Amino acid sequence: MDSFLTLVRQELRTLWRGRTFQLLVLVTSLLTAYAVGTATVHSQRLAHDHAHLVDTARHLLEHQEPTSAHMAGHYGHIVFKPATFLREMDPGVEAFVGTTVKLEAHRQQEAVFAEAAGRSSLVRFGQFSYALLLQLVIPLLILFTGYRAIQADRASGTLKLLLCQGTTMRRLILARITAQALVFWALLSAGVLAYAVTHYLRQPAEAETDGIRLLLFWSVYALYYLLLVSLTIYLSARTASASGLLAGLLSVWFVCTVIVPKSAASIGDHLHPLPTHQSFWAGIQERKQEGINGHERNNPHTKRFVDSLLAAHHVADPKDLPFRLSGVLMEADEAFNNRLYDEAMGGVDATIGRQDRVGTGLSVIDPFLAVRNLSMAAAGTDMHHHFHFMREAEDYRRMLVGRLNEQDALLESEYKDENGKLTSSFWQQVTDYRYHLPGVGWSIGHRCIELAALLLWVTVIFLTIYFTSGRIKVS
Amino acid sequence: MKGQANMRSTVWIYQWKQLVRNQVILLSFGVLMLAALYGTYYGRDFTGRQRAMVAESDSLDRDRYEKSNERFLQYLDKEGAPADDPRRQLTEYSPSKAYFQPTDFAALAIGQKDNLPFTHPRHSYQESIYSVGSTDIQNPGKLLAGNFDLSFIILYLLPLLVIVYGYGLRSEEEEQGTYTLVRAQSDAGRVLLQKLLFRCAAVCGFMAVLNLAAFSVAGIPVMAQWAQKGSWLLITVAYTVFWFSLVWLVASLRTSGSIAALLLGGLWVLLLLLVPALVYRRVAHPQQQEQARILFNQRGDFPKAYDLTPERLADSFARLVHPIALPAMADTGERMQRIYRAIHGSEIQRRFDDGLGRRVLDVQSAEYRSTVRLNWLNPAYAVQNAFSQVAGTEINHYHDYLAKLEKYDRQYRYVRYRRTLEEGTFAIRMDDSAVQYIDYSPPVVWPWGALALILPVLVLAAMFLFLAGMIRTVL
Repeated sequence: MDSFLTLVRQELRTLWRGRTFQLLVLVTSLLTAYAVGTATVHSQRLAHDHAHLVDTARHLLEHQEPTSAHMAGHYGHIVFKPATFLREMDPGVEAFVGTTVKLEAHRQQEAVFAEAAGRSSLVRFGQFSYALLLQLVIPLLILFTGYRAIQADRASGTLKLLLCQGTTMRRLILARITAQALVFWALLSAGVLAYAVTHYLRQPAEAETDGIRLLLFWSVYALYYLLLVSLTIYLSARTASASGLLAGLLSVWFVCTVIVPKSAASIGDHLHPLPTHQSFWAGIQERKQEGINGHERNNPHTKRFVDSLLAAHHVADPKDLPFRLSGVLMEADEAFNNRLYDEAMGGVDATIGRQDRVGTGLSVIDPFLAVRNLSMAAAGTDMHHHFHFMREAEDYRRMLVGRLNEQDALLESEYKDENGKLTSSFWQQVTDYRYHLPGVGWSIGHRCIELAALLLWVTVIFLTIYFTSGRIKVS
Repeated sequence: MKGQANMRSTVWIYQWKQLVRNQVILLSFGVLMLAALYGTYYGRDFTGRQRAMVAESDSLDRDRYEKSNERFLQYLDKEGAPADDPRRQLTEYSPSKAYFQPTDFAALAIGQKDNLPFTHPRHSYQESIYSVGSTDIQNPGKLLAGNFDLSFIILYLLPLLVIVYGYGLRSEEEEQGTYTLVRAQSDAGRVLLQKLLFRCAAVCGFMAVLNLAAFSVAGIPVMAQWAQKGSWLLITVAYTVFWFSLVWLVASLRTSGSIAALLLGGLWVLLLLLVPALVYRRVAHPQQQEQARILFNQRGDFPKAYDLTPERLADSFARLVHPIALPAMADTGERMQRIYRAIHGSEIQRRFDDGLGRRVLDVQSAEYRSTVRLNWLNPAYAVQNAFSQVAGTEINHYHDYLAKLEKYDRQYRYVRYRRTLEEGTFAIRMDDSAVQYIDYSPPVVWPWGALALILPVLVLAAMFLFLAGMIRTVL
């Protein structure tokens, strides 16, 4: 154990003395500081804008003119996706999805105002974020630092000396791995800690609930760096040519980080094309003919529904019903529309799921893909979280429209004035839409394969080191 | 002079022989060609799909138009209108939508085409062209990954080919032990320069062939669009020269081959990953506030022009800049006064609605201008932007398209106002012959225009060459 610790200490000392390494660490630290600093400013601005918009929408909701419940349903409500601090660490798909949803009766609206739709094609190069640094820059640093870890000893002849003194190749490799992993974990921890402290100082309550996500974020990258360090050092021990190894590692890095993610998305898109916007809505419109329509009393389905109501209440005229027919009709119409929408949207979700599975499948052979998806999941910025936001917004819409239809159906209500119009007292007791990220378990649940792939990679590399390092040639 | 010419031809012949024998370089050329052809096929598939969506939308629009005519004729029959009733003279089909169509070159540089809406209401009574809505169902994960098109291949892979081919420009002579011979027999600097020129010419020639093949795969007519083809080739050549200038700069440092490769690889990471991401971070400003105003206005939260008194309406209308002269509104009859009020209200409201939309565009334009100004530090985006300009897929094209559509929309409204005022009724049927709408096509980028777009890249290349010269003199 003592010799192991000595080897670790010696490697740490060697690393620390290397000018190139010092420079690279300095650049990385500066970039991390820049990422944290700009993230704080940016997030403050977004949070301010978000709070202003939410307040405006709520104010307009509460202070709308007294109107019928039906018209209030058409007026609806506007909700906004909150700008979380975690988004600044890894923006994920956030730039490409809408942030604002208009909720209204009879129609499910899509989220609009995607950031990318208002920008130049610079958006394609990606936004500078801590995740970009962790995913692209630090891995390069690991490759540059590790590719000569054993080869330098072999070239200088110290490898033979070390082995003569009783240490084994396995112990040497593991010591080098431990030392380098500790360095990169320290860099990672410093960055994540800086984010955590900044976040806590700004929003203590939110930061406490996000703590576990930050821990997950750290763990994903810690595992990834352990894998990269282990792989690089092991290959450094196995190969003869340092420049050949570096060229090979850089090629793999390029293919894994640039080519595979893009190709996976393209292949998924090719294999499982999504329906067009027109055909999606045309399909729903067409199917609407097959059911009740609250706005068309002559519709045969509506007629049948009204007749059944009249029969159930033993009256001949809708005016004699113990409730207002329009509200009940609208609710039935809403239920039918919701069913159609859920079925159509289920198809779209399934197709996107199939497209996504191409990337998930490839993450088994490309750990970068696994890390990218896990990182987005930890930050709550992958597409599953966006769909979660949309579903929550839709649930809120259904709740709000349901309550309005209920008011519409009531002959008398404490929230209605003498003309049957809804007053502000109704709106004041309607809870506002507040979106909260789902639990970490939910987030990880969608990325089990990626997590398993990453763990598998780490296990396989350590098993390989354990069983094969004894057979590595010394010279 | 003769000696120099001899030396040049000797170097070029030797370089040619070396090139055809170098399997790694030939393989790299092959991989790049295959990637480019796939990228072009991918781009063509994308533009094909978007065109199909446009056609589908147009066909649905035509169906709606025919059904509406059918209903109108049925109504006339029911009313007992005679066969020669002038109302039975139906107008030609006039599309109710305008389309931001992809150009042929969009298959080569998709740019922002997949992020931008491509369908807008045209001469609609109620809807502003800036009204909010999405036009396509997209997988956010796919948008994040970006497009595997030819511009991506050139931007990211071409520099790698240049690095692989050029990093050993000087060091390979040293490593083979021929550098001393070269220095003894001639001016080593000139020999290296000739080597660089040959390699640059070889890559440029190869890229020309690759681009011509891509034009063919993209379905761009062989004997047409010469200006765009020339511009595209020019941009590719400039980008190749830019990377060879970096190779020359690094070669002038007289480092070993592996250090040269590392430096060039580092520059690749810096110029293609870090700088664009940092510039994006610098220029991107939240637009949600401005965008949300459109949605609030669309919902009816802002005061409406129709709420103004007739006097205020008339006064505000008189202050507007009118694209065509309207007949004097001097009739004091009640019916005509009602028409005047409707025209005033409608126009003032539309100008307000369009103004909100344009405000968002102004913010976006300002951001785009800042981005382009930083091209002096961000050559990768300068090249991407130049490609997107040739392809008509950048955000400025979208803005131009909307500006043109808004102008058309206004002209159309005024022609309708004039006819309404002349005939004293709103019951007029307009067709496209009243004001011709010509589909938007982006301006042709001539080679000199392309030169202006890539000026930062060329200036940077010149600077690197100058710097290399200085270093060579000093060392």
